[in-house]
Amino acid sequence: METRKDYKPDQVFDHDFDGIQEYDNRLPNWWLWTLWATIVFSFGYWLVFHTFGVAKLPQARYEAEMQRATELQLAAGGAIDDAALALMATLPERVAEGKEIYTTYCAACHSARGEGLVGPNLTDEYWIHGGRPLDIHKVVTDGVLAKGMAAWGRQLGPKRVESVVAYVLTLRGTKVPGKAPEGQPFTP
Amino acid sequence: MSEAKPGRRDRRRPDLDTVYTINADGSRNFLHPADVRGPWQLRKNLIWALLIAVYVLMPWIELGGKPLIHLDLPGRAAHLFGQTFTNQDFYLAFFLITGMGFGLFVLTSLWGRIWCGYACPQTVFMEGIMRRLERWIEGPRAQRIRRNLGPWTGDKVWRKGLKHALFLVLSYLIAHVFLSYFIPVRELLKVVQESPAAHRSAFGWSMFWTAVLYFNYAWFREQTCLIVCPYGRLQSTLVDDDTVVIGYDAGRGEPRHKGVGEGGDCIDCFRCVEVCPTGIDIRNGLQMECIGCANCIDACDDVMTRTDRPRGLVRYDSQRGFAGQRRRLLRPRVYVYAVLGLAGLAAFGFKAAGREPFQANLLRTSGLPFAIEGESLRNLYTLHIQNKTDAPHRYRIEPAPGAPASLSFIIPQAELTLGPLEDAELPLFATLPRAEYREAFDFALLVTELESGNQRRLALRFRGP
Repeated sequence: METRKDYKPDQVFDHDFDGIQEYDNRLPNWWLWTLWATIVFSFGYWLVFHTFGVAKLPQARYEAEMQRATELQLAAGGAIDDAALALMATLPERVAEGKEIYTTYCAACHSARGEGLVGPNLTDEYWIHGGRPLDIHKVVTDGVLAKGMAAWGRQLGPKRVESVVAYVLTLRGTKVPGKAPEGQPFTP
Repeated sequence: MSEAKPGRRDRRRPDLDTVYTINADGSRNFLHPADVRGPWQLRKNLIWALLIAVYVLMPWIELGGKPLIHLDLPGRAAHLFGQTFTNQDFYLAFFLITGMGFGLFVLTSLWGRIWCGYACPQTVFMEGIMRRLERWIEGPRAQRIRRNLGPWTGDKVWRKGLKHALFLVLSYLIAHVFLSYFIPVRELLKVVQESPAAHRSAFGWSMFWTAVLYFNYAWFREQTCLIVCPYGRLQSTLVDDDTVVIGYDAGRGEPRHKGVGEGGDCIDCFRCVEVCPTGIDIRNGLQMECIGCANCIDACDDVMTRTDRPRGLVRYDSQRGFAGQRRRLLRPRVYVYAVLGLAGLAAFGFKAAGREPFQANLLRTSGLPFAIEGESLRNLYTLHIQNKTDAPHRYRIEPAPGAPASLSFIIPQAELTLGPLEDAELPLFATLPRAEYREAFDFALLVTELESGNQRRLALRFRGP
């Protein structure tokens, strides 16, 4: 058992601040263990993250997660590809639904027949953000905020976005006189 | 006298130069506080029972279908007493925490560390549940010390095994009570019945907190208060000679002496030291380690009663009171802390009550300030709307009356629905015939939440060449 003789209460450090001195008592061992543990941990961390790259650093994890989120988003919209959208453009009921949506929401900027007003002409061969069906699908879904194109994905939902893209695909090449061509020519 | 019990004279006693719970070689001097009974213990037990009920039951209470307190970290929202705070409201935490912090300062400057002894969850669970279990299983202080020093007999194995098993189970339960403030309790009940693989993050947190709490209750104990907690270190700045603290009446007690005869009332029985959960001798005066548990008051009063002396040798009193001077409870510092605390709470209250159910900002879209197309002049804007409530709402965007008749608007999404806490950015155009443009002018849009009619007017400037 401990006795008071184990302590040397007169033993103080050399430093002295305004007459305040410090006894030279031992740190708690558990406290020292936390110090050793963090040093050991730092070597493990260094090897795992930086030397061998076993685990990903936050930036890489963030990118992987964003990639996964994009894939999930695509999956939620159904299996959409160029061919599926091109096929929809041949289905009368989807095109009819698309036309109705177009008249309600899109005609304000792109005019009734797609010849363009504030927004670009949809009836020529020129496309600012690409003319593949999936390109158009992306512009309708996410918008181009800097140019005034709204993101319609949330409001319309995947199915109605697909319908309106199908309708826009039927406008392509109808060459209604209107706004001058913008962007790059697109050849399917 | 010098030959009587030489071992006892040499024994280490709590002093002001060392931490009693740490040995000279840095190892832990594990405490075995003795049991104590008395009026302060009764009061503490009642308060602890009430607090444990509050901690456990609070997550079960719902208000309008939502938990009373739900800190939704992934959703970056706090649901408190029927109000929803989003991350944009986070600055309010400053006022709330300042208000509550100064509230604690008021209590500390009046009555010392009553928070530590009566209301801190560390004390409530450690002293209210764990210490009690330990006493039931391992017996009173003398028995615990004797068994710990002795060999590992069957009796010791089963008592220690049972105690640690119960500590683990309770730590697991307390960890889940803690988690239920972050995951609604009904959801949590479902989650714990499913495979851990399906809820890795929640499972990881529950295991982490179970381990931390078990380590805390089984071994770390008063070290949390002595070395980890910052509040005790503030004591010397918040407490003064008028603060009511637990102290020893040296004028009455000294000189200490055993048995009958001349001297003070303190019989140097060390009962006050034996019952102390942080290992100090209250007769050395107010110390950083004192968590204000009042164990030593009940212990000393009991001894004084048995030896036919008046109670209160160790009692709640101010330094002035112990020195026989006039006591004074309300001092300038109490008023200053109270005013600062009320200011924080008032600022929080006003700002929280004045929060908007939705937020709308109209900005000119970055890029060209205006565009000329044929005979018309066009400006492009971006409207940002956020629904700050817990329910979906529908919004309408329209031009405010008073704009020039020739100014026309294209608002592609004139109406939209936003789910709880959802937000959207909408583009919109204003167009004016070029011939009519003289100089920049202001106009406005109205954003209306359709169910409540709550409306926001957003002003903006139309620019041209």
